[in-house]
Amino acid sequence: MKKMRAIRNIRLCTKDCLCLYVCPTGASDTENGQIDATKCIGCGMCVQSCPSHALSLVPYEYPAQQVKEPAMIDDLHRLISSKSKQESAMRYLKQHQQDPIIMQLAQAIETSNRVMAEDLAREAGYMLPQSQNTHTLLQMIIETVDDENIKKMAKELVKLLPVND
Amino acid sequence: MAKYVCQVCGFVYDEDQVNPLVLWDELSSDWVCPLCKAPKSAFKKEKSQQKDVLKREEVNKNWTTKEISIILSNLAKGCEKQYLEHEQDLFLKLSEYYQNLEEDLPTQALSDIQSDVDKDLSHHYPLAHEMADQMKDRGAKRAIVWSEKSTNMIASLIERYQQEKENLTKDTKVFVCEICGFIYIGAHVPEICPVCKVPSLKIHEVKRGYVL
Repeated sequence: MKKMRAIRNIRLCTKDCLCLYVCPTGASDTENGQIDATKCIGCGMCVQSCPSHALSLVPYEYPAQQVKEPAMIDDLHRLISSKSKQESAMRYLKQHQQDPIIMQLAQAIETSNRVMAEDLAREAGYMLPQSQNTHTLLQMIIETVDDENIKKMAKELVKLLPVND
Repeated sequence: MAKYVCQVCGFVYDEDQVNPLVLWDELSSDWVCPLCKAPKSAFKKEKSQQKDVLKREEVNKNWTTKEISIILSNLAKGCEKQYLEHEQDLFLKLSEYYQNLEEDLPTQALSDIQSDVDKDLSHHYPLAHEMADQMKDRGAKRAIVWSEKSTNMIASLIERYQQEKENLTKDTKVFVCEICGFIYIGAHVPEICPVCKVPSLKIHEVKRGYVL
């Protein structure tokens, strides 16, 4: 079983094309700029030869996420709740306001709160989509949601992302 | 003589070090941080080390639907980092569903969130800092440090809007960092984010008269 595969950050790629010369399987030479994962053997030659550091190796299986202390999670939870509340308030404001500057600032503060809350959630036990925490959340969605389409998507995610911790 | 610390980037205005001496109170109100351009209102006087005893509120063990939406869009980002595009798309759809499940909080003005911002800064952050230090959780500490700075910027934005109204963004643009949430007001996007130091390609303009 292959452990790693190469990926290309297209924004960094300066089209020096050294990867095409060093790849033993031709996996780096594709029409859409992505590495062909079916051909990539994870040897890392392209990563070492790329002058613009656009290539990196990523694992097929990620290590389990770090365990977080419950008291730490609670402190992060309080912050997430507050950011969520502020995001919702600003979302309401921008949709019910006519003043373009208030709308603009409300949009900025809404986005800011979403970004902050996501980052705090990541540190509160939701780093990896393959974690038990994520799995438990998806199960809760499957059990409580009425919308069949949403239920189907949550089930698909459970299947696609096996638990790794 | 006193010291005043920029709550955004940490720059210290030390009255003892300024030559010739200009007292903090003598600086004009449109003076900005020389490092990150945060307004004067983003500075706080350095306090002597005397701590108030803060109490933790009860935490709701169940996530609200809006909070679930946040966790789900964060997991979409987690999939993006693993190049799992289909999974990312599914998480985003679930996140959107949860965001719209309940009504948003009726709000009349930007300053309606002032008390929540103040509570974050006076209570939630000091407590979370203390806990992260105690647990040696550097990851949590990072998220706390970044978002506290971005929250300080929001606090000063709201305050400035009260005073300056539409002049606040006259002839300038508004940007938000997609990594740490820092809001930047200026004519041009900063080369790197003053808070998380990400390069400008991850800092986006919020246009006027355009609602996402």
